[in-house]
Amino acid sequence: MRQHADQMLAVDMVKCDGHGICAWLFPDRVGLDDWGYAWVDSAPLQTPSQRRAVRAAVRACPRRALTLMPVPDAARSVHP
Amino acid sequence: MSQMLPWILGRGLGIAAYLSLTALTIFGLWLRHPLAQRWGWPAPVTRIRVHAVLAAATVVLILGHVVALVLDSFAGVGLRGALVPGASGFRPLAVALGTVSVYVALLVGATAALAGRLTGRMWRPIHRVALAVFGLAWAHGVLAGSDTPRLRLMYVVTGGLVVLVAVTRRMVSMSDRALQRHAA
Repeated sequence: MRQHADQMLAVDMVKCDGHGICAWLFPDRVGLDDWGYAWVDSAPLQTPSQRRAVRAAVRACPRRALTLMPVPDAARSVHP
Repeated sequence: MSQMLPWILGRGLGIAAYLSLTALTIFGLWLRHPLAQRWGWPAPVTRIRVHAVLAAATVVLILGHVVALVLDSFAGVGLRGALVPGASGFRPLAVALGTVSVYVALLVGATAALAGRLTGRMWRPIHRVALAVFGLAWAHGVLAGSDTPRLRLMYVVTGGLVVLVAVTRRMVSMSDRALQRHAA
């Protein structure tokens, strides 16, 4: 299984319906815009608590709008 | 006076719990109300926080309401009457509505509190039942409250507000979707 340090959080804006539970479960990396739709900080996940929180946020989203994606090489150089 | 204390506490906490549940339900509906999204008030994260705080306050107030009435030997409710629907000596149907509303509320609240962990995304379909919790609690308050005639205005206004927010949420959402289809 891929380590979460090699992964980043992404949101599918077409699927997001503004439930907001992701921002409640993972406020470190997920925020809500003025209309209530999610935006994410896609820096690689580092700590165990971030990994737990991100799993909860991804699993709780009723629209399956949040996903964990591999960190692209370009982003890895920005967030070593 | 001391003999009346559990009854007074039970009634007071019951009314406070009902008002807290009303605010909780309205905030829950307002969370994704199209007008709230349009106006941005209050901020989305604030809406979620207020909803969670109201949920916790409602649980505490309901617990106080039940404990006070169970401890009141004159109320005729008792522990069994509070826990088993229909087992109350005092207005069994009305008390049963309250008992059932608490069980459904616990299911709705617990699945949301454990969302993403134990209950995954199951919280969302279960959360749709939340409006029924308010309906049951409203009926419980109207039918079980010994001072309902004096609180009639409160029940009419609060019930009307919840219906208004629920109906406008549905209608504005449908209207927005129709406009989007028309534009597409």
